[in-house]
Amino acid sequence: MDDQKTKIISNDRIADQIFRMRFKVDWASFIPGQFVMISIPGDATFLRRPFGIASLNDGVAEIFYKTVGAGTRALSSIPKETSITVLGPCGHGFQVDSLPTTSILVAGGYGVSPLFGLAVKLLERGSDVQMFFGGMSADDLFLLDELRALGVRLHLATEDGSEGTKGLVTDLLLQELDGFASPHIFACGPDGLLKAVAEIGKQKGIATQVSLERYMACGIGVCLGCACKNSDGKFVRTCREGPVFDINDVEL
Amino acid sequence: MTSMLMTKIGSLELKNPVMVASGTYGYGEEFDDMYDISKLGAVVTKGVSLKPREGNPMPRVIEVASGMLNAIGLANVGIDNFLSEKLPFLVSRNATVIVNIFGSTIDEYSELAKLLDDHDGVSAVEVNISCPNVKAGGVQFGTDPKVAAKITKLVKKAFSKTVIVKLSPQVSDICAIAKAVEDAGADALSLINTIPAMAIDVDSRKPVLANITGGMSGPAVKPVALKLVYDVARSVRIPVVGLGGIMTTDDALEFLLAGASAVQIGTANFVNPKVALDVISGMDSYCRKLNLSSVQEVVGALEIQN
Ligand SMILES: Cc1cc2nc3c(=O)[nH]c(=O)nc-3n(C[C@H](O)[C@H](O)[C@H](O)COP(=O)(O)OP(=O)(O)OC[C@H]3O[C@@H](n4cnc5c(N)ncnc54)[C@H](O)[C@@H]3O)c2cc1C
Ligand SMILES: Cc1cc2nc3c(=O)[nH]c(=O)nc-3n(C[C@H](O)[C@H](O)[C@H](O)COP(=O)(O)O)c2cc1C
Ligand code: FES
Repeated sequence: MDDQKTKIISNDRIADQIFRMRFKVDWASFIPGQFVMISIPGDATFLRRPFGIASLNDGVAEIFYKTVGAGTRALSSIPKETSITVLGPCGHGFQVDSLPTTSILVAGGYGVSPLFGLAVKLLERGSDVQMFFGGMSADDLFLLDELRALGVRLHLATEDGSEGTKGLVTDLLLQELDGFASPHIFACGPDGLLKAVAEIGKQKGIATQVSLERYMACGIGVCLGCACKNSDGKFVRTCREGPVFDINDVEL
Repeated sequence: MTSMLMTKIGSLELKNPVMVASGTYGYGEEFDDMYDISKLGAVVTKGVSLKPREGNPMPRVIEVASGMLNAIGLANVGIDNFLSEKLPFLVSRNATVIVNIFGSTIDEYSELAKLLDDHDGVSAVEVNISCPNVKAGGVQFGTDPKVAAKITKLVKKAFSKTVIVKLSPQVSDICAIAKAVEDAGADALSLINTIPAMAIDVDSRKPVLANITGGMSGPAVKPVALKLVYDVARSVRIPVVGLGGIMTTDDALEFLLAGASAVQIGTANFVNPKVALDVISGMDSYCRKLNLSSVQEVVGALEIQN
């Protein structure tokens, strides 16, 4: 982990409210699920903002973000070539020591971002990657072409039915899950989705890891502001012991 | 760095006057990847209590204009784990260690001080009588000069090295507390702790922090902190350590000019994890530029025309 000043290589809108940003970094590798803390130039924010790392190619890191508030809106209007400071890679990512035959990735909205990096890694190592991707509407589902090009099988769901199956992506998962050979589940998205996924994982006895989002002040484990509860009901730091947890180790 | 930045707080000698503030630096481990933590004047640890504490429910931090609120509630590993795991790490890195202590009762402070006294790796204790985020103890001890003095006396008796007492900004007469603590034998004072504050979500009509209120820190509090340091430094003879909203070398120099012998950097560590190193080298450049033989020439050098 290091903090470095770098220049934005590109920062483009790729869908409604969704932006893709690339910048050079010194680190040679990352574990999918790890994130960066970005200081947003200008006066819109005081603290940094966390974003999942989607990819790292030839020293260029890539993130995808949704404009939801003052910080992400300010970030979206920053032109390329602007200097930003990036701290990373932070946190504990997805563990794939034992490679599953089938990897089931469950994404909610911009939760797809760290799962993109995970898909690349799993496919490289020969796992069959099936992604269940859900959102409120079609606008929330991005990176679809890139994921297909990688070789990821997509299962889409939107709550308004504007893309894929109408309804919750976790319901779709439950319907199709039994068809896959010895799967592991990896999920990133809002708490509701993670909770449903964890329940499914526990019920079916499937190894499941989830990546949590919590408000973060420091991102490096020193403010203790991002705590979530572990299975003993004790606080642990989402930014350090997480954001990725095995469902048996975290209370959702 | 040269001896130009050497600073003394009581009998405690520091390489430079730049420390990192309690609760914003953990126990130093997280910064070890990024730089050599022995370069700091001192590491002030997260507040340590006798028993481990989970702290307050979530959410317990939130950004506000030019700063943040926290209501962590002194979550910490407890003194046993601190002594067996955290302190050895800090010692292995040659860090100068100041342990911030917190008790729910007056006696707990002296018990903590006694336990720490046996450890060579501990250079000083900072007595937190000013946390706004806990129900028992905390700021309630720091608002009554008699109680503040009593805690200081007990800690002094139990701990043979430097004792720093950390003051709350939320009192009607901070100089009265400062003097009471000085008379009780404190070697130094540090101020300010966070300022009690709150934020409300207008959509839900609920307080943003689960604890309802929290403590404000960051640049928003700097002018308030500076004035309090200025007042206290003129009313006591013991050294004052200034903190509150320091983000840059100039911010730190302002505190020295106002009368602080040293400074602590807190919330800025979240925004720029290497800020303390920047301030140390900034002070070095400042002293060179002005041809000062010691940074202590800046302390209290505020020029007031009348
Ligand atoms: C580990 C991690 C990885 C992340 N990765 C990504 C990513 O890849 N792409 C992406 O788009 N976003 C990601 N996020 C979320 C992103 O950090 C936030 O959307 C961003 O910080 C919002 O900043 P803002 O200033 O725009 O909004 P703010 O003004 O800070 O907030 C906007 C609104 O959202 C609410 N809010 C903000 N954070 C939270 C929260 N944690 N829980 C509940 N409500 C909240 C606020 O109360 C406010 O109403 C990640 C978060 C974490 C913790
Ligand atoms: C998240 C957080 C946790 C803190 N925890 C402690 C603590 O345990 N003990 C203490 O004496 N002060 C604690 N403080 C107060 C700081 O040490 C400091 O007094 C205050 O934040 C003002 O300085 P700053 O503006 O540079 O942060 C904490 C502050 C923050 C932001
Ligand atoms: S964000 Fe500060 S400890 Fe996790």
